[in-house]
Amino acid sequence: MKELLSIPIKFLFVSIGLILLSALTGLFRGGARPEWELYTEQVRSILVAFVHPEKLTVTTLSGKEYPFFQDFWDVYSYSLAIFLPALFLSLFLSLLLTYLTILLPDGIRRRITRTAALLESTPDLLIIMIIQGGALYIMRETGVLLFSVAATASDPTYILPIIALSLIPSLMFYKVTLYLVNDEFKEPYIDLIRSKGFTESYIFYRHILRNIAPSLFTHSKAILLLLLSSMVIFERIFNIPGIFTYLIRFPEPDVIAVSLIAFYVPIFLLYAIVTGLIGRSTGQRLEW
Amino acid sequence: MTIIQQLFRKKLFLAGFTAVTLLFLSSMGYYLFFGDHIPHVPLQFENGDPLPPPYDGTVFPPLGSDTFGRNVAFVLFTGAKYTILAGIVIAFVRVVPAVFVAIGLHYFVPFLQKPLKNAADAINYFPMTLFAFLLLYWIRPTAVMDTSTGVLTRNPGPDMWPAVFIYIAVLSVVFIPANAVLIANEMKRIYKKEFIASSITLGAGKWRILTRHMKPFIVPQVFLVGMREFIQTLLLMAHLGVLAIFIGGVTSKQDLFGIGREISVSNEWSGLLGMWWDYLYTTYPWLSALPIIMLTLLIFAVKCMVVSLEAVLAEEAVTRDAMESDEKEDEPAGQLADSRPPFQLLPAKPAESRKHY
Repeated sequence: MKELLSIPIKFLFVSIGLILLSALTGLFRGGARPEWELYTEQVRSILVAFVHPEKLTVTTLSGKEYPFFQDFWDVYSYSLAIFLPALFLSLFLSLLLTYLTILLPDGIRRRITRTAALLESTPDLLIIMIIQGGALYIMRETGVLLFSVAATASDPTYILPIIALSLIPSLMFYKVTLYLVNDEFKEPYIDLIRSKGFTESYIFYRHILRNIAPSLFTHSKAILLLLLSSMVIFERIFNIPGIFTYLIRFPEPDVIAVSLIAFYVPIFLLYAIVTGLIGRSTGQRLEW
Repeated sequence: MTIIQQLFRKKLFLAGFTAVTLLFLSSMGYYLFFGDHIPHVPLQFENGDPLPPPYDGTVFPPLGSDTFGRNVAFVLFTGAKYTILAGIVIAFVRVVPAVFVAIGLHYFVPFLQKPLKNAADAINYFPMTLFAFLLLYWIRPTAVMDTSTGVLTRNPGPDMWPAVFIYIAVLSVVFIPANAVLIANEMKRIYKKEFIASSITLGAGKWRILTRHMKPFIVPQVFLVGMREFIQTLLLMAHLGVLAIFIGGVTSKQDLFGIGREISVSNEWSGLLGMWWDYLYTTYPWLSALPIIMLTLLIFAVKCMVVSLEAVLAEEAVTRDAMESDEKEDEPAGQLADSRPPFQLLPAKPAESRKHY
């Protein structure tokens, strides 16, 4: 029972934290006013927004008010449509790379592990610049637009941001997977399977992958958080009309709190379900 | 052999360490002796027609000039010290107070560790770039329109030093809880070791255990966390630069043709990155690429140091584990006293032993 409760309690904790932090940003709009009354007022208005979400409005620069939900679902679904595929793509890419790596001889493998550790801290801005600059260069030289570099209202771009967003997380994830796989290969049961004549690929897919799945999942949280903070800058530079550009345009505490918690819900559900599945099939209770 | 001696034997560490130190010291020296003088490029002519800046590296080596005709190599060079200094200061404020919070957590209020972990988790789900941007965008000077009268007034924002202080505070304070939890966990892990139990039995107090037994384990970890935070800080600063928040604020400056442009005062790299980002879409994209390339190189240099420190710590752990398991074979009864020998007898290298046979 206690374990069943721990998942909603975690959701509650994160939500409360997000509300308190969003209220904090309210103190710094057009000047710093670190006053306690203002802060409690902000928290109260956010709570009201949760009770009456239909009354939530955003105010534009010219002072006009619009209902919050007029644009919200569009930007929300656009952001999710980039975020979730990027998460899965980076998972897939890193597993594929790991598989290709284990087929290589030991010496090269060790060198690759070290290089991956170095490369994982590449700034995401460098990747963006290379991709955008590269696309522009090809366009200038040949006149062929490989993919649309920035989104416009009528022509949303998906593929380029998804690929660009997933590159660095997949490198990070690749490093973690490689480390786990190398550890798993030292287990005695692997020697036994090898002696029976099974191929490396078979061992990798049948045994290794299954045994590292729980720890892989625990580590995936760090990747998720990295993706989240990259999203902000990606939306800005690729001109994606997503949830974070929306928040930069309308930085009102109640809007921020509602949007961020709404964005957290699918991530949370995904993690809750996977935790449950892994718990049922392996008996391990995962922390995340 | 101490950890530091081992580190300086690693080529990777030496390379990273020398690169960062040399860059910082030379940039600092240039400030002290030449007052950050940035040479300007005279207006260039082509077939008698004036050619407006920026000039690229082939016209004006080594790296060309920016739109004001300033020598880009020197602009980057003078900005290097501010970039490194800001990174170090912010990483320091993120980690060092966290150590003290962790000590307090571990000794006095261990029951607060779980709630604090959950609170720190919530910060994770608030994208850091967005959070820092929202807390900081009021410090940059903006044109504010009074909605009732429709008059545009210029809001100058706070002065330079308060602004720098606020920038550093925002980028560091919110990370203290997460780091404190991390270090407190590490302390808990060390506290479970046998030699701690033995020294408690021998009557050591909290202070002695902390300063004598925990310190050798905690200090390298703190450096490791600090260097990782340095990298994270640089990435965050670059993001903020693209969102037009610079350390040290912006001023207006007229270029060679009298067009006012906003420039970063300190020439600090993330500021330059933000200032020059839009040039990616013009005919001189190399200008916007330079700051991010420099930042990437700096990050790689620090990452080299991180990787080698991790390797040294892992080697230490392996020799220590080997020693502990040896002891267990010799004395099967679980011993409390720390019977580790004062020196280590490491197995001879295989290549050397082969010679004797």
